[in-house]
This record gives sequence, structure tokens and C-alpha cells, in this order.
Amino acid sequence: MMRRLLLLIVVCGVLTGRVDAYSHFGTGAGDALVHWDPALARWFATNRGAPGVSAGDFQAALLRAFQTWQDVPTATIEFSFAGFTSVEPFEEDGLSVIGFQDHPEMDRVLGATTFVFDDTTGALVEADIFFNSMFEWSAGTGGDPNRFDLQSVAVHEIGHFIGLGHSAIGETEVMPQGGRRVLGSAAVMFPISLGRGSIADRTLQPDDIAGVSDLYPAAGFDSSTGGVRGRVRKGGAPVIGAHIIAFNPRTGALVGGFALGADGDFQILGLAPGPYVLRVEPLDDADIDSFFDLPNVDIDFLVTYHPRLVAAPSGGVGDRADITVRSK
Amino acid sequence: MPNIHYRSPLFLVFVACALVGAPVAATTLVPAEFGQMARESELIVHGTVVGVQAQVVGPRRTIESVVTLQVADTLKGTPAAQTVFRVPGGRIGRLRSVMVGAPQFAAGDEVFLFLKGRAPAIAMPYGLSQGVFRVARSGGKAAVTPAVVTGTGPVTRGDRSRRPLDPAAFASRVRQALDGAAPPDRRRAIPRPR
Amino acid sequence: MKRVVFGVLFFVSFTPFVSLVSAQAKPPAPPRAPSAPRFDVSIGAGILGGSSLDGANADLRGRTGGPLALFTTSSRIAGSVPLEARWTFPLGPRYALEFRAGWARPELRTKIDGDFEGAPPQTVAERFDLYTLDVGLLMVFRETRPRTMVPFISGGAGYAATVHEGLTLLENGVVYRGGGGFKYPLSVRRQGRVKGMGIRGDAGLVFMTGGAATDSGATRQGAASGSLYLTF
Repeated sequence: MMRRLLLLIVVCGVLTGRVDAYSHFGTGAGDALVHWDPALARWFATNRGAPGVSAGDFQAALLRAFQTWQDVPTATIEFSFAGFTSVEPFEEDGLSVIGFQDHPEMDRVLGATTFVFDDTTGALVEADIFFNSMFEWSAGTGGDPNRFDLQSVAVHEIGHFIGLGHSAIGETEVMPQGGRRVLGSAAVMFPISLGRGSIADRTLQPDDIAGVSDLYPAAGFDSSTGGVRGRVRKGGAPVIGAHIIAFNPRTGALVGGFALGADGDFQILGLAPGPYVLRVEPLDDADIDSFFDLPNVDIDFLVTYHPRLVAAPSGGVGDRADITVRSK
Repeated sequence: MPNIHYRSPLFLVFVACALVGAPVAATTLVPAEFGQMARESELIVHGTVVGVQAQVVGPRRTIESVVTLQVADTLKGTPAAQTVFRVPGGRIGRLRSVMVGAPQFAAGDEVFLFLKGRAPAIAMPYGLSQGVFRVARSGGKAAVTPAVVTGTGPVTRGDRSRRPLDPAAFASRVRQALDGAAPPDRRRAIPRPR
Repeated sequence: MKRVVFGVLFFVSFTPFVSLVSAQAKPPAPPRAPSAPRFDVSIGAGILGGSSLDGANADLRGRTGGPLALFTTSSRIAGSVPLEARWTFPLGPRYALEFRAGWARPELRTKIDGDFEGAPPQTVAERFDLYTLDVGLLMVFRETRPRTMVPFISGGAGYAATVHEGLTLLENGVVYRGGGGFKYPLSVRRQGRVKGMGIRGDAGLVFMTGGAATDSGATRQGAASGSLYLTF
């Protein structure tokens, strides 16, 4: 069934190209949707660690991180540890390998995930994750105030591994001594690390859970959750690349999406049924290429709330919310 | 009667189709602020991509792309008519490799690039996509995105002072950062009436 | 569609009355022996008070694990004018089983403040249809006599559904109600299909979990209504 769906997806991709999208609801790679066939979801760990992290610690931290995603009750995704290997990540060998690597040329990158797939069929061949051993890592249960928490970053990268993109729900600051750091985020899939010592991103947030559940829904998930949809416009013209946050005033859940349709359309699924506040903001502080690859992204508008609460009905998607924003 | 959209297999396929076009994104980043990125980059150029060549490199058989840029302006580093840099991922035959969060280029892309890496290694964009600023031209106007974040303190979205710059203003901002001149403090703290 | 459903509700309510009218058009039937009332049907309207909701703020997870407010909210269900219909079946001289169907269209308002990005405060709102169907017990304190006020207490529980435009089910929940009131028979007959009519007043409290209520608790709303009833 999954294979059939995947095939349909690929066919749709070839036929229609971009229709509408949710960066955090599935990482599209060209015409293919990165989506695992559960039967293929096996991963290897490299048989070496990094300073402060043994190979055993490394594998244990990865297992915990995978388990975090597998424990989402509204999703059904399961991965298995296939064993240690001397093969390195990023080798195009058909194996999904996770390991430390030295990447001094990427000295702002803690870790990254790559996919290799057949560009004609969309079939996923492998996915690899590397953790940059240029940084100091900790695999301790309580973290280490001077090191990056391996498990937290692994939860983020595994989010990519299973097919999620970045969430933009987060706030940052530029520090007086230079550099930029996160003040807070509402998704493990926010692209910027919480920094040394933080282990907060070991725990998924509603945005992450909505994303994985939408990709790999457990029985009943689709019928018990709903979605909101809408369109962002400015002066009658579509706004491309706006970031929309759906906020559930009862539960406090924040789930995000992007207006990536040609008409500034957006759609956010996997929401608990009920009324939602919709808030639109420009990605004018962000590294847009990290979220999506689109020309003509509009970042010249003010943060705007939709004047009405928007309903996400059980098992469906609510009426279209037209949100008009103003230029700065 | 308002439209009601219930989930059905067809709807799921529609959603799936929507996802197909979804963007590539991601990597856990330790971001730099603009001045720091300018200072730490070895080469900062403005130009247009004229070629993208994927290749398998090294004993690791990794797929990456070598991008050739026709340089219009060199803001830092040794001026040259063309420069090459590499980015992870690319297409070799039927196989396509994508590093989530790495920028992708196509011929004709106009960009400002902050590159890091000295010869003989081929340079890469600073912090993957952090060092890529794209120029969009429309109706005789040009805008560089993302917008430049300056000043200190919380970075707020929708800040009226943070707009896309035109290429000349962007180049000026880069030179300002390289000269160490403190850019005007545009920290948000002051929510303005809207 | 909503109107259709509500129309059906009213049709069902008035069916006995309609059949009474059609019965009156027929030749007079021979006198029958007095019989006890079988049930009451009442239709009325009232006021359902507002209720604040235990809402949540839009909190991000701060770098240290504590909350960082993207914005704050407070939500409230505004007062509304519900319509309701009841079917009351006597269980004896003092007790009755009562089925109640209600519809209201309250407005849910969420006030937004303290936006991290400095967006101005505002209130966003939306009206929803609230359907309730409950069953309860009614106890009267004296025998029904014409032109005599009959006090009662009642309580019940049932199903509540919050529905958006087009009968799109948003949520469902449980409604609890308790209170009292009076019945004031305007006429009482011992024979005929309609054995009496009167007015009825109800007041009480309504609690609701799920539906438009919060995850953490229940809405608490005062309610009052007046109805006209027919006894069959």
C-alpha cells in the first residue's frame, strides 16, 4: 500500500510539480518525496566515536533519538539498527549510515542529512547523516554545559532522515559579542541549534508530531485530526514564502507551514480539531534557502493575524482563510 | 454552502502531490551574524551562475556539484572574471543526491556569495546556505534576499527597517561590515505602531 | 444544511400538534374515558451566559527549557440566545424523564496580546453552532393544577457538538446541566389529545467539557429560558 502511495506521489510530482507545500510536512527533493518504505528503514552506525563520545555512546544516543520519533502515538514509523560499519556517511553505497565526520569547511554545521534517490523513479536509495566532529559533543544523559548534545541534534537530523524539512517557528537574537542564538523555538525541526548544554530538543513539540504523523499516520489519525488552509495576499497579489503559524488557543499547540503555492496558498494538516488563530509573518530574518528553494519570496510585510478564528474540522480541512498583509 | 474538504484517498494523494513540490531544507546550524560572516569569508562576490557540474569525488564517492560563477563584482578576496565553488549534492546519471539545507544552483542564478576555503580546496558557501544571498529581478527592480540582520538583541520578523536591499546597497553593507563600521542599530525592542 | 437539521428538529417537535390539527378536521369522535398525560413537548428560547476559557499562551520552548511567549491569549465564549425543545415523559406523580435538544450560536473570542514581534493587540472571533442533546430527570414539588405555579428541579447530561459552517463537525463533548424552574399550566383538560398547555421557566448552570470548552476544564455558563409547553 505504501509503495503504491509512493508511486502515486511520484507520478503526481512528475505531472504537476509544485502545487502547495509544507516544508515541515515532507521534504521534497525535486520530483520525489522522501518517504521511507518501512521495510527499508535500516540504518548503520559508524564504528568510531568522537572525543568524549565512544562508538557505543554514539549508537545508544542514536537509538534514543530514533525511539523519540517512533514513540509518537499518532504515527507509525519504525527503524532498525542494522549494525556498526566502517563505511562512512555520504558514500553512495546504498547503505544508510550515520556517523561522525570532520568537515572543517562546514564549520557552522553541526550535522546534516543527505538523500540519494533515483531521479527517474523517485525510489529512495539511501539516506546518511553526519555529525561534524569539528564540534565538541556530549552523549551524557544530562548533557554537558560546554558541549553540544548529540541526542538533541540527532533527533533533529532523524527528523530529516524520515522526511521532514525545517520548521520556522522560533525566535533568535544577535548577541552583543557577536553570533546569533535561539531564544526559543516550537519545533525540534527549527534549523538553529539551541546551543551548547541544551538538551531541550530531545523532546518533540506539536509541530514535529504533526509533521511525522502526517507523513506516517497511525490508524485513525486522518479522521481524528483536521487542517486549515488559506491564501496570503498583499495588495491583491499573492505572497510567496510567508510563514503561517496555526495556534490552538485551548492547547497552546503551535504548528507551522509556508505559503508556497503560486497564489500564496498554504495548508496545515495534522491539527487537533477546533478553532485556530492564524498568524502570518515574513521570513525576513532567516536563511531562506534553509527552508525552501523558491524564487520571488516576499519578505516585505508586517506580522498579521487573520481577523477570524479558523476551524480545523475532524477528518477534513476547513474553509479557505484569505489573509491580507500590508507592506512594511 | 461553504466548501467542505474531507480526507479521502484522493485527498491524500493530493496532499502527497503537494508534498512532492515541497522544498528541500535543513541541517542544524550554528549561525553567524552578518559582520562575522563577512570577516570570516575568504571571498565575497556578486555574479551569475554560468555552469553547474555534478561529480563524484574522493575515495568516499560523494556526489557534489561544482558551480561556476561569472563574477560581476568582488567585494572581498582576489578579483577574477570567474570563480568556482562547490556545494553538496547533485545528479549523476539517474542518481540524485541532496544534502538537506545545502543551497542548489542553476545557470542564470544571480547571487552574492560568501565563500570559505582556500586553494587547493574548492571553496564552499559559508555555513552552507547562510552564505548565499539571491538577487531577484522583477519589473526593473532588484532585491537581495534574505534581508541583512544587523544590530544586536532579539531579531523580530516584520521589522520595518529590515527590507530587501538592492545589489548596490547590499554591496555597500558588505563593505561596511568589512570595514568594521558598526551598522546602524536596528534592534527591535521598539515595536512601532502599525 | 444546518437549517434543514433544525427544521427537522422542529418538525419532530410539532408532529403531535400537527396530528392534533388534522384530527380536529375529522368528524367528532365519541367521548373517551379520561386518561393520564403521556408527555409534554415544549419549545422555547433563552439566554446562555458567557464563559471564560482556560486558554493557553503561544509559548515557544526557551533555550533553557522555560517558556518564551510568542504571544499571549485569553479566550471567552460570548453569551448567546439558545433555542431548545424538550420532551418530558412522566415517571410518576413527581418525577419525569426529560429529553432536551438545544441549539445556540455563540461567538468564540480570543484576545491576542504581547506579540513578540510587536504586532498590535487584537481580538479574533468566530461564531460556531453548538448543538446539545441531553437526557435528565425532573422533579416537581406539587401536583399540576391550572393557574398554579409548579416548581421543579432538574438535571441531566448529554452530548454537545461544536459545528462550524456547513455542518463541519469541529469537536464533540459532554454537557451537564442542573437547575430548577417552574411550570405554570394555563389550562388543564382531562380529555382530548391535548391535555393542557402552559409556560415554563428554567434557570441553572451548564457545564461543558470538550466542544468549545477547554482541554483542562469545563465551561461554566449560566442559563435561563422560557418555553411554551403542550401536554399530550
